[in-house]
Amino acid sequence: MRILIVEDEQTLLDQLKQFFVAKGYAVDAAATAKEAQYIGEEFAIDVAIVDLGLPDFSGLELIKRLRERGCEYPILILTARGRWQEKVEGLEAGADDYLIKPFHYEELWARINALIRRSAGKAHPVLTYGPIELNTVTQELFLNGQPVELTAYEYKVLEYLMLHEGEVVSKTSLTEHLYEQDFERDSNVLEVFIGRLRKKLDPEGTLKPIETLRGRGYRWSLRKTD
Amino acid sequence: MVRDSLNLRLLIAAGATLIAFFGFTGIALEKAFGDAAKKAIQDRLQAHIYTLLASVELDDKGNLRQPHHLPESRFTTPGSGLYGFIFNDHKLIWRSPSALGVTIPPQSLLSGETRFLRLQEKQDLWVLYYGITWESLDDKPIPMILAVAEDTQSLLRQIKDFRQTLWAWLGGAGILLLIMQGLILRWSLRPLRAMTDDLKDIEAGRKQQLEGRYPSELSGLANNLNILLQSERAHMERYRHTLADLAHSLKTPLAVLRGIDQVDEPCREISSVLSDQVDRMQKLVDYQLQRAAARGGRGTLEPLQVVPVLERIVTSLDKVYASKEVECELTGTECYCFLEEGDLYEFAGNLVDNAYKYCHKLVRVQVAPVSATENQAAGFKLVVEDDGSGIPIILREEVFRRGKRADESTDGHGIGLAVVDEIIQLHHGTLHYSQSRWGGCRWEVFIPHPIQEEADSAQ
Repeated sequence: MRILIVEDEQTLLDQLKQFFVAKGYAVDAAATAKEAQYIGEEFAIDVAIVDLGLPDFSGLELIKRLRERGCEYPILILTARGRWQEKVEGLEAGADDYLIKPFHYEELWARINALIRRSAGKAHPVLTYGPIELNTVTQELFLNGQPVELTAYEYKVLEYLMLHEGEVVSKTSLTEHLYEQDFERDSNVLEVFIGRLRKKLDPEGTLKPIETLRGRGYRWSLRKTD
Repeated sequence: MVRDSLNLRLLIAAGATLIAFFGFTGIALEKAFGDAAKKAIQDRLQAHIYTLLASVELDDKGNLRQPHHLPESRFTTPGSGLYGFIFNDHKLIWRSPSALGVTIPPQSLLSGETRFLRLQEKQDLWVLYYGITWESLDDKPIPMILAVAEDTQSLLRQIKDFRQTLWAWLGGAGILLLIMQGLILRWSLRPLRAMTDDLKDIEAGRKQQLEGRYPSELSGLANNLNILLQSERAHMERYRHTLADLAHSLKTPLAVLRGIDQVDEPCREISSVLSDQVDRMQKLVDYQLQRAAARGGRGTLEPLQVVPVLERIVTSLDKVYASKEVECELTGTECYCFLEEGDLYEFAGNLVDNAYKYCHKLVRVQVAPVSATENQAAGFKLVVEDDGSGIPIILREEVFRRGKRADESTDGHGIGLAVVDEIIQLHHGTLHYSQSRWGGCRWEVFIPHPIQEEADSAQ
């Protein structure tokens, strides 16, 4: 998942970046609204955290501009201004959720997770596909009830594919959503991750959860079960 | 009542002055008229004395010859009210035919001396005695006293008539003056009344300053009051902004501090202390910030429609709690309040947010205007219900205390309901908790309008 964090307080921005990197996110950080607008419009962002009080123009204005330019990813407002009138204005401007500073990181994490799931049309944090279960909160994978070890990048790829179940996800798109902008992108690395995931998810080779569509990309082919 | 109305005070003072003035004037005029009438009687009686004197003659022997042809016919008509008498040496020697049965006492007078007096014995009479000495041919002077009496009835009638006319006119003039005084006072005090209305509007938040055109005597006061109001408002705004800025500027460093134990992994002990202290500071900042933001029972410039605000809150919360798929029913007729918009958002937002947070699926928000009754002022009522688990009885008091939360399992700082309660109290409203039809929370808020007549016109 690729997250855009917009915050003018450098220490907090660094902390947020560190936190989300640790959670396996590709993080794009911006300290000004202009920079954020550029990143938000140009890159494949999955979710954004926006502070309202920015030095050049307000976070509210940034959200409006992003929405006007067709950016549909979920946006969470993170601000010190916590009056209800301001919350309503923020949500009406196009934000999807609102969190007041200072905040608990667990709460921020839960809300970001919920926003990503919601944008993918998944209400429950546990994505279940037959014997495969992925807990997006604890970032744990279970196969037939048994835990399966995943590396951070394997988890990222798996979560992204599951959240886009049935959709063809190109290698480029997958790379864009999983890696930060200055990361050296090598499609062979992605193929290796997919190969490893297939072995971990389907050691018998009976489920075939990840389809490869030649020249087009990959598709999560299993249907979600309750 | 007198203390409450300047108009009434002035009217009573003017009325008392007018009564005193007309009272003294009436008494003085009545006295003057009485004196003048008395003097006129005396003069008339003096004239009758001279007439009588002219008709008296002496015979050859020097005895008084009774006058036969009296020039004034009333002397000859019995009971006419005009009587003539002649005394000699304290003996009545002649009385006019009209004085039949009428007696007056003799008086001792020197020649040329007059005495005017009122006799109230058998009859009430004004009497003028006049002493003369009749010189006879044999040089033996004859002392005589001529007296003319007139019935007082005519004078008393005149005085009575005069008094009636006088007091009728004075009374009429007094009432007219009092009415005019009242109108003048009303007109003169109109600027004061306008100033009072302006001040009421300022108090209710409908006006920012005294805007009326006041006479020169009041314009200085109005200017000073405006300066005072502006200064007070600026001071309050500065206070609120400073407090809000302070609170906001503290929040980001607090967020950084909270991030330390998440990201930098300090030792467990420091992390726990840090987390507790940041929590404490955060609660203080949140609470003081929301208190600073509440305007504190002040009205607004114009009535604010409640339903659109609730619609915006509900739409926003539908977005935030989208994954919960809450079914929220918002019902309400056209309803106004006189709160500052931010205050309405704050208490309604917190209540509806709690309902969304703690419900299973259902939330109901109802708003309705409340008309004034004998026991209750006009205002509006807001009811927020959910189908959650409700608040256990032992925790119901606790939820109003800042920092206290009935449910520790959800997000939040425990500030919401304390602020809701505080805002409602600042606006002299009430907040009641009961169990909803589904067994969850049911919050009922009533907020009275600050000025009742305004409310009636707005509703």
